[in-house]
Amino acid sequence: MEKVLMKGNEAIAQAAIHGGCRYFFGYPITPQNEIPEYMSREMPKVGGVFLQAESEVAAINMVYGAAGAGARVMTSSSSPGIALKQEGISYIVGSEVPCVIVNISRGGPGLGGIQPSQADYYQSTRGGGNGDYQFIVFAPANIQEAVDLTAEAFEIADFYRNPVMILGDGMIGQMMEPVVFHETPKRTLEPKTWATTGTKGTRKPNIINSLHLDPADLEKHNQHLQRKYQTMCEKETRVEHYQLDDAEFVFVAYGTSARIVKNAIGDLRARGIKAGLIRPITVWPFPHASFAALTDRVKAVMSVEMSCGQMIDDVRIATAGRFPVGFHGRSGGMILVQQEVVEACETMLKEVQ
Amino acid sequence: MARAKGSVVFDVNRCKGCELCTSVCPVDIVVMDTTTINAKGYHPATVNDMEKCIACGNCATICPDLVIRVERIA
Amino acid sequence: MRVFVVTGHYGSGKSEFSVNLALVLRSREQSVALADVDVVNPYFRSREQRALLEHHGIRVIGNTMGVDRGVDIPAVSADVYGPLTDGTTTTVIDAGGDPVGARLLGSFRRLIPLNETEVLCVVNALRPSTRAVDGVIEQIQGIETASGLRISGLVNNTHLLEHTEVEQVLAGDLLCGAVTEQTGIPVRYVAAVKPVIDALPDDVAGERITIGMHLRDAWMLTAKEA
Repeated sequence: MEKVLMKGNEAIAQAAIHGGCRYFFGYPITPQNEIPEYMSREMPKVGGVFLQAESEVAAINMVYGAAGAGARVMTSSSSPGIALKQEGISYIVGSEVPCVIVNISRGGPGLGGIQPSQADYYQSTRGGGNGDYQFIVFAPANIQEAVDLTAEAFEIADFYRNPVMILGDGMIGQMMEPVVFHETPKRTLEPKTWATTGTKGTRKPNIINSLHLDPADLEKHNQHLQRKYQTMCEKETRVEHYQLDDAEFVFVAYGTSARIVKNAIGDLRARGIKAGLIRPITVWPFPHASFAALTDRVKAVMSVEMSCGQMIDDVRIATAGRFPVGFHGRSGGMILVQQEVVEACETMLKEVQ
Repeated sequence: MARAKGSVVFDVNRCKGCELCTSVCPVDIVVMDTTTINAKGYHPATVNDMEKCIACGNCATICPDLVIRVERIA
Repeated sequence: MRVFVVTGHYGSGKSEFSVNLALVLRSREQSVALADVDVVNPYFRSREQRALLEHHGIRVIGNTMGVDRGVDIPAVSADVYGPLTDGTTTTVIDAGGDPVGARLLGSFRRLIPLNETEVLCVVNALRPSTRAVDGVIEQIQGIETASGLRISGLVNNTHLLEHTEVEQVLAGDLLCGAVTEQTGIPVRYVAAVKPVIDALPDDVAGERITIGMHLRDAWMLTAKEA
């Protein structure tokens, strides 16, 4: 298969089409504009529909509608735009309809800045909307991974009748890398008999709804949703272990941060420090098992994020007090500096010894 | 009926040289003054034959930066 | 030639080429300026290389805010007019990609001294829409219409960043040759990283420009692993 050079945003959009997406509703915001731009041009070519909504709230509700009608549908935005979508996402999860949501995150809070950051971890994994809910959150670290995960996301969303999020950052969105569009792994999917496709007088109308006024009913519904999430935790966790076998110092990082950490590990190993990396590919479900498997060889664990520290909470939960947990990060759109990561490790190792 | 006459005033240093005003004047009197550079570094817009101005206000309406003021005389 | 306008398809490598061209020109000329008039891309703009370029004595012109990184406002500084019209400064203009980015050139089209200007179109045959002759010609026509300028030369910048191989540049050479046949526009430059440039056969068209990858930070070069 031939490699082509693509910008992250374009590649994600093309991957969505490759994964069967035929409806895209979005709104402009830097640094993800290339996604709706690409979709505006390419959707009509595959017989799909592109609409620029009047806002991100409108877009997510269009997604809700199309998903309820059985379509493979996607929206994309960046941090503050994703914040606007939170209620819609809660409704989508409550009504059990599938969709894909792409967040190319930028500096915050508020309008923030256009440079990349990873400060939407809480928003993505703790649910910014109301109620008990979760969805699988993929955090690609390069564009090929973004392509593979975006295409597969539609299959997974349909399988669980739940949204799937692709959590990128501005770098993933704007960088160019060679990519190949592989065959997407397929799952056995139930036909969407629940969708509002028109009864033609042959059946009762389907209703897409998250309202359950009877509390006993709503509790049952929540328990059903929780069982889905439990299955996702058991079956959908993805993680990469990098130079972890003999590691004394374990970094935890995802997305763009993970790439910079890998370079820092090269520097540290050259100085005789055995550093390794746990790279969550799904930040939800979080790879708890990787931490349970760490031995006493490990002296310290450090969460490295482009934020003021959000994933560190999950790292603390996962290490359950067995190891000291440190943090290194940059925020506001500043990119991590390799040398600073190296120094943070050396400093922490001195402190714990 | 007598034709309206106008007098156009440009806030020269607000002008960013976009030339939109030059494209909407029905009597073609709005031009860029290439003999001067304003504080922003652009050739500002100006009128080269004020006698012909009919005070339609197109230039003022289209200017995105509120550079132009048109006064109607008589 | 004193003025080099660099246009091309979105993602063809204009900015990296512009920075490298400016450095090459600086090795030959005393007064060189790079004007970054890209209002399309939010990141990876040639003006972000201000420190490197000014270190080599190249004047960098960016946006009216004087902020090179983190601002996506379409406000090109009027300072670009100076080097264009002063008759002495060797000027590289890095335009935005596609006809959309080239449209901005229309605003100072009348100031461009055509008799001493090279209007280049950068081609990367590994970008999805410029893999075939039709795609490249569509770009050329779009850019010419939007900017009001005629493309006078092609740049074979076929690459997959640090993964580029000689065969790919040769394929780009073939593609550009086919474009030359249909349009009469010659290939002025061929650009690639040093190991690839050194390995190119003599009959590849265009003056060789060795590309140092300034716009890509070191950590981006490990794309092979996840």
